[in-house]
Amino acid sequence: MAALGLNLNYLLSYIVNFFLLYFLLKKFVFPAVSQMLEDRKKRIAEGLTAADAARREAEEERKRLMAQLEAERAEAQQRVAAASAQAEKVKEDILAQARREAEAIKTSAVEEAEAEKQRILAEAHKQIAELAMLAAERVVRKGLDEKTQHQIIEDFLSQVSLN
Amino acid sequence: MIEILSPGLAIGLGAIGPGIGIGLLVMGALQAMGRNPEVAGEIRTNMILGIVFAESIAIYALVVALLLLFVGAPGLQ
Amino acid sequence: MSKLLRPKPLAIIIGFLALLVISILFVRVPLPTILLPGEAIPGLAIGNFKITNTFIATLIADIVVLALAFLAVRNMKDVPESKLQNIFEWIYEIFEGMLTDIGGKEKAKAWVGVFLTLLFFLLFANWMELVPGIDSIGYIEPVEKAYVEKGVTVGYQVKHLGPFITLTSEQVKLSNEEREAIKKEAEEVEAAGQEYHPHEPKGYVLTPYVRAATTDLNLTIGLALLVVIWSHVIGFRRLGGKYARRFALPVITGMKPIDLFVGLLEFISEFAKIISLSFRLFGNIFAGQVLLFVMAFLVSFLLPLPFFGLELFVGFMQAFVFAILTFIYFEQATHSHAGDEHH
Repeated sequence: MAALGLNLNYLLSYIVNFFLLYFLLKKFVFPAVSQMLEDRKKRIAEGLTAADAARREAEEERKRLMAQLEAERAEAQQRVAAASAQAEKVKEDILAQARREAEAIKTSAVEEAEAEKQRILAEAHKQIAELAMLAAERVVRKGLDEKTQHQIIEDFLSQVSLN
Repeated sequence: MIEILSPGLAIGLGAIGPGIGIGLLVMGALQAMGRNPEVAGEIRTNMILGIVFAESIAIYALVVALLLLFVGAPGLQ
Repeated sequence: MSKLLRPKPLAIIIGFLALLVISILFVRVPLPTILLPGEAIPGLAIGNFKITNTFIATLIADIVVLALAFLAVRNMKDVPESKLQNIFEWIYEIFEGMLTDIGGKEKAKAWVGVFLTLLFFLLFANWMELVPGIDSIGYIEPVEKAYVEKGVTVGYQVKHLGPFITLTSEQVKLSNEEREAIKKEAEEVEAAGQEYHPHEPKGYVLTPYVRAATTDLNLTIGLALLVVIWSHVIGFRRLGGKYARRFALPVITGMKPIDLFVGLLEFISEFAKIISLSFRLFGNIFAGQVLLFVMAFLVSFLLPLPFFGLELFVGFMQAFVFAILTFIYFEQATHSHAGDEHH
């Protein structure tokens, strides 16, 4: 044993030395480190939960805003639809009135034209009669009796009126 | 003569077993790594640990050899 | 090959070769005296307790571990500002996770302190063999005196460098006749009640002030004893009388002969645990130290370099293995014996 250098004093001194070292580290160092690691783990977990909650809240807020926006959009759409319906109605009214007026103008124009036509026809009748009288005078002057003359005028006039 | 021979024999004979052992160990580990390379890291760690344990047997022989060489066996000198 | 012929790599290679040649031809270092026991330093003693160089190394390792640990936890911040705190927390988390994988959360929490203390302490104790100056700075005494006290037979001639004395690589071996003469003279001097001092020393040996702590068997056996006994204490505490049954200690009636045999095996395996734990650690570091000595002795430059890397790895690995085995022993002690469940 002595050749190996074994000596009870040294052996015990090394054991005591190691125990002291272990005691110091166990007392002051390891609890601090393990406490720090645990605290950090806890804090990270807390942070993660908080972040999760915040995210969920933000999501809800977003949803709420989206719903609000959607409602406003629908309302605006409704309003636009109403306005456009009204506009359509106004347009219809204006068109109807215009059509009516045009109809009236057209009717009056036709009546006027008819009156003109009647007037012109009457004029023409008169003139033709005069011309016919003129022509008959000329013929009579050449030698026809009163009766024949009259007959001829009658025929002529009926023909003219027929036309 | 025997003083010179004995340390040599101690380490020489003592290294045979661990040598074979380490060879087998590495063979097994490499085959395992080849079969499933995804756990190669873990196998490598355990292989090194195994090698250290096998090697320490050779180290015991080496210690005996060194003792014989430098301190001398009782009764030999 | 052509890449090596460019000026820069070529210069590096030539430089390396020159270094090798110089170291082989001119710079030779002595092979340090290889001794198993820690060497007591003269003049340093507390009462009867002589302080050895390995004990000094133990104290240095203690101080380094404590200093680093206290610096790391001094004013800890939630968001770490010091790198040291970061590294320390990282190590703590990694190993706590590893122990949780092996033994579950509760046991990992309970014993991560022992694990880390062993790991840190042994790590620095092991790595101390790599620090320059350790193993090479010490006091010089005549080889004759060293022979009488420790049985050293090989000394070296010395050279004076200003206030310092250094060993040269010139070996001086004590022949058998000289050994006899020295022994006789020392006995005569000591019989007269005086301390032996050789008149004309042939050579000198160097005893380092600091030597890696784990190259002392007292430390490794002490720690191994400690953790094995500790594991039994834990076993008794957690299992009570059941734990004693595993060793067939109280021979309960109805116990089969095979149980006695198993108990005997358990006893033997406890001793095997102590031996394997202590000698694994001691052997690796001691052999590593001798390896570095011999390599430096063969070629003083470059050749020891890869072995320093190897020893760095071995130093860590052995500290880790010791610590993890301790944890496994603790963990095993809390299992009741496999047979108990079936009875």
